[in-house]
Amino acid sequence: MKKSVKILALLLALCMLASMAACGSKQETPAAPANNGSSTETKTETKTETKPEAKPAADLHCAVDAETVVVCTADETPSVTCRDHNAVAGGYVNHLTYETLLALDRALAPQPCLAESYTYEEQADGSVLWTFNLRHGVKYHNGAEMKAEDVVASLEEAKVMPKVATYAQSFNNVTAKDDYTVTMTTDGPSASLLYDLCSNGNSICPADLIKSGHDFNVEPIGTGPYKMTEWKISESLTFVAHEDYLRGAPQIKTVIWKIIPEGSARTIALQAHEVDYVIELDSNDMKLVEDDPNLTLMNIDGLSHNWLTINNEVKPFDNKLVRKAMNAAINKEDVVTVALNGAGIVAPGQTPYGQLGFDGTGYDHYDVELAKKYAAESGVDMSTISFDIICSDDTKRRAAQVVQDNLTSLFGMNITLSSMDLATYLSETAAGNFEGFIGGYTSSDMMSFLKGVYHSSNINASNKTRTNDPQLDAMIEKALATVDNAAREEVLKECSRYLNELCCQIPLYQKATLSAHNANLQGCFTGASGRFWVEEWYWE
Amino acid sequence: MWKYILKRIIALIPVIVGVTLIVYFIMSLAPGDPATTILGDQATPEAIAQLREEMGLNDPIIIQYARYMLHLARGDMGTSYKTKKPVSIEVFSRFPATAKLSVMAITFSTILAIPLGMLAAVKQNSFFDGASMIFALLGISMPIFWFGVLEQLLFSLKLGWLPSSGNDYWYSIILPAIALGFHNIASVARITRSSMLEVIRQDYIRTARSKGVPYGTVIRRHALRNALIPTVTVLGIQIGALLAGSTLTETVFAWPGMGRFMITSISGRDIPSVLGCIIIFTLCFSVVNLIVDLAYGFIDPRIKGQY
Repeated sequence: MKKSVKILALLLALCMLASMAACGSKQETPAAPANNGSSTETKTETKTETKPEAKPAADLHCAVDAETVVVCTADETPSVTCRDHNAVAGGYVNHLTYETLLALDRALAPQPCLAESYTYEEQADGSVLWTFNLRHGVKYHNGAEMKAEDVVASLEEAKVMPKVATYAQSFNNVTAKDDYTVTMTTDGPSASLLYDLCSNGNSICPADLIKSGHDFNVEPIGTGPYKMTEWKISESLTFVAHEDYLRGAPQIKTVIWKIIPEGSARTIALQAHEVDYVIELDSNDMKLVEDDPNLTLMNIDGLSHNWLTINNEVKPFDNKLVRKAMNAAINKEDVVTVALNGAGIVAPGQTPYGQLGFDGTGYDHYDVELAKKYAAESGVDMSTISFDIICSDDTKRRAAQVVQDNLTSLFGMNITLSSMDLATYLSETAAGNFEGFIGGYTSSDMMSFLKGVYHSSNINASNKTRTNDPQLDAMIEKALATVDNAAREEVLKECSRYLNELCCQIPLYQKATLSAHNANLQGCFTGASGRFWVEEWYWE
Repeated sequence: MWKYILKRIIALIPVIVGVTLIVYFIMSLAPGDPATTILGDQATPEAIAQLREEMGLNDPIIIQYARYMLHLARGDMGTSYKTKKPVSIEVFSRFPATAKLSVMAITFSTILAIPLGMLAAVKQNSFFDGASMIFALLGISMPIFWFGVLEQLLFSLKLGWLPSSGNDYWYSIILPAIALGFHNIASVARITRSSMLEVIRQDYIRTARSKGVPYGTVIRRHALRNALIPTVTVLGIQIGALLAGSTLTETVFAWPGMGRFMITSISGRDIPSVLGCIIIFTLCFSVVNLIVDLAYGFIDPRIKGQY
C-alpha cells in the first residue's frame, strides 16, 4: 500500500513537471525591431511609396518566406463563390478574389472601386436613374477585361441567389449602355444602393463564365488582388498574387489561408511562427500576445452591437418604463469584463457607436437610483416578473449571468437561463417564441442596421424585439431615401435618439475585433467592420 | 467463411436503412430550420422562403426521405445544404484523414497498452503493476482537450520539434495520434491485464511450465494468445468509436477530418451531410466488427470452425 502511494506521488509529480514545462515561460527569442513592440493598435497605418528593404526571411521569423504570409482563421468558408454563401469566413476570402462596383473605405463610406464614378438623376415617374462609369483595363484572373455586360450578368445573378438577394433588392433594370457604362434604377432616391453595391454578393464576375455555368466554387474568377490556386478542404486555401491587379500587383505573392478552429491553438501557432496572422484572436490570449515582443495585437472597436433582447409583445415588457428600469439596472462594465474578458466596450446607445448617425442622447447608462425611479413609475411590481433568457454560446451565457445577478439582486426578479444550439435559437427567436435572449446584429452601415433590427417589415425575421412603431418605420424609410450624407446623418441621429427613448431592448456591449500578427508584417489595418486589406501587407 | 462474410455484408442493408431513417426523422423534427440557420440572424422572411424552396424543404418529410433514399440507391449521397458540394466529395475528402488518425491512435495505444497490461498481470501486485495501472489511469483521466494543448505547448512552442496543428507534414500526425491514443491505453491495458490474470492460472499454462517450457515462451505463445480475445473486442469497439469520436482532437489540432465536419453539419441542420457521415461511420463500424469477428478465428482455431 505504502509503495503504491509512493508510486502515485512520483507519477503525479512527473505529470505536474511536464505540465509546468509545457506552460512555462517561452524561450528567449530574438527581439523584434523597436518600432514593432506589442501594442494595442488602433492606428491607421499609412502606406508609403517606397518601402524599406525586407530583412532576410530568417530574421523576419515568418512562417514560410518573405513573399508569403500564412493567415489563420477559425472557420472554413462554406464556398469560395461570391453569391452562394453569406458567411463572415467567406467574406474574408471573397475580398481576396473579387471586387465590387463600389467598396467601403476605412471609414465605412462607399467609394468607387470597379466603377470610376457615378451620377444619378430623378426621372419623371419618381424613380432614379443611376449611371456608373467603369474603369478601363480592369483584368480578371483569366486575363479577360471587365466590361459592362459582366456587371449586368453579375447583378442579375445576385437578384436570384437567396443567400445574397437581400443586397440586390434596391436596384432594377441593370443595363449596359456601352462597354464601360452601366445604368440601373431605384424606385426612388436610395442611399442603401451605394452600400448594397459594396456587398460581396454583388461582386463582378465574367458574363461568359456566368452564362456557361462555370463552377466558381472550384475556380473563382474575379478582379481581386489574389487568385485562388488550391483549396484543401478543412485544411487550407492558397492564393497567388494577381499580377495584372488594378492597383498594382501585391507585394505578398502567396497567401496561405489555414483553418485552425481552436482559439489557443491559433495563438500557439502564431507564437511558434507557424502562422503570421491570426484573424480571430481568443480574448483569453490578449495578454500573452501583448507581452510577446515578436507579435502585434490589434484591438479594434467593433460594430457588433449586442444586447438583451426582450419580447416587446409580452407583458410586462410592453411597458416602456419596465424596459428602461431594467436597462438602468444592469452594470454593463461588468458584462464586458465577464463575457468578453474586457475585449469590447459598453454599448453607449441603442444604435452602434462608430457608425454614421449614432447619437447617445437620451440613453440611460447604469444608474441604480434611476432604475428604481423607472420601476416605481412603471406601476409594475418588478419582483413579480419572471422570465427566461436564451443563450446560444458561452459568451452570451456569461453576459446573461451578469444580467441575471443584477436584476435579481436589485428587483428580486426571477430569471432563468437556458442554452440552445444555434439552429434552434435562430428559429425560436425569429418566430417570437421567447421572453428574452442575448442577441446581436452586425452591419457596416446604420441603415441596414435600423431596417434589420427595428423595421416592422422584419418582424418574424431579424426584428426580434418585434417592434412595430409606424413613426420609427417612417424615420427609417426617410433615411433610406436620403442620398445626401449630411442630411441622412441628421435623420439617422434622430432615429437613434428616438430609439434611446423607446428602449426596445437593453444594449450590453460592442465586441472588439481582436487580431494578432508577426510584428515584422507591416501595412496591416483592420477596419471596424473586421475587414482587412492583404494586398497592402509587406514584410519589413 | 466467405458465406459468413457475404451474410454479414447483406445484413448491412437493413442497418443502413434503419440508421438513415432514424437520423433523417430526428434531424427533420428537431427544432431549427436549415434555411434560417444558413441565412443567419439578419435574413429576411422572403430570403428564408426562397432558400427553403430551393432546398426542397417544403415537401413532406416522408417525400424528402424517399427522395434521399432513391438517390442513395444510385450512389448519390446528395448535396450539402451549406456548401452546395456533393456530400460524397465532402465526406470522402475528409475520411482518409480521420481513418489515418484513428489507425495511428489505435496503433499507438495498442503498442503501449498490450505489453503494459501483460506485464502488469505477470508481475501482479508489484511496483510495475501499480505504476502501469496509474499510467493507464492518467490517460483516461486527462481530458483530450487539455492534454492536446499541453502537447502543443511542450513539443511545438517550447521545444519546436513538431507542428502544433494541421496536416502539412508526415509527422504532423504524431501529436494528435498520441493525444487520441493516450486516452485508450487505460481500457486496453486493464482488459489485457485481467484477461491475462485469468489465463495464466489455467491448467494448461501450469502443464506447459511443468514440461519445462521457458516462462517467457509460455506467456507469449500460450497465455497472451488466449488472453487476446477480450482485448481484440475492446480494440474493435475503440476503432469504431475513434472514427466517430475524434472531434475534439481534430478541433484542437486542426486535423482535417470528418468529426469536425459532422458536428458543424449537425449544428447547421445540414441533413444530407450528417447522413453522409453517419452512413460512412455505420459502414466502418460494421466492417471493423466483421474484422474483429474474423480475427477471433485466427486467434482461436476453435471459433474458426463455427463460421
